Amino acid sequence: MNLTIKKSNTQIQIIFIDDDRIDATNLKEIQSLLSPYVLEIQESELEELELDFASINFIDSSGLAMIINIYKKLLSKNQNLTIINSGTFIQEIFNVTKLDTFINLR
Amino acid sequence: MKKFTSNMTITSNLKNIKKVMTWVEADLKSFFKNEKKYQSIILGLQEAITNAIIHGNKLDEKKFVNIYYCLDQKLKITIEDEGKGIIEKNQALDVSKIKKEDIYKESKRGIMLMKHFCDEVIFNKNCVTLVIQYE
Repeated sequence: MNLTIKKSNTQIQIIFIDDDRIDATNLKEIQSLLSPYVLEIQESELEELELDFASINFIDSSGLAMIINIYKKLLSKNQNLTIINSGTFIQEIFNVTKLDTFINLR
Repeated sequence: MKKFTSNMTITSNLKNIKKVMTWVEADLKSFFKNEKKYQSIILGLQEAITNAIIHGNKLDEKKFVNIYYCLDQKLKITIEDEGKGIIEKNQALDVSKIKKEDIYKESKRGIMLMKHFCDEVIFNKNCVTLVIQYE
């Protein structure tokens, strides 16, 4: 997995590239890639972390756990987590597990 | 219809899940007319194997996970580990029973996903069988 990072005065946007899964097989790698940016947001006045899921077509429960963990970290600083460009299967996973009740999906 | 069976055994390392997925894709994907059904069984399988490696075999690489499939009128995939089996309380987990106070919890969603996305999930001691209608 690799990431492309775009920064504005309100948010950090992270685009996942080179892999289409977030699951138990690559979770540690993804966590270590994302961790510096989550920390950067927490230590800043930025409003939002946006994850671009355009290339992601599979997420399992360990990936969901990582998303919830990031959400909680940002919530403690009143910052938002938004996921954009998610496909219908990913959206259904978020829907049935009720993550869509507190994480913005666009 | 002809009946197909096959099995694969892996050691309890999460990296080995990719080998199982490659094997399943090569053997079974072409039988699925519906992409959503295929994604559903892959998600169920991912959760069942992860559960077997982490909770069943406690990530002990000397222990094995055996995956067996039978393709007939339906696809049945059985995942067997060397653990004690999933406790009844966790077998009963279901997306319809997620309480408001539980929605922020980071665990317990794997079995829920298996049960939601597969037509049937059968727990039998240290084996979990996923059943899906693939046509």
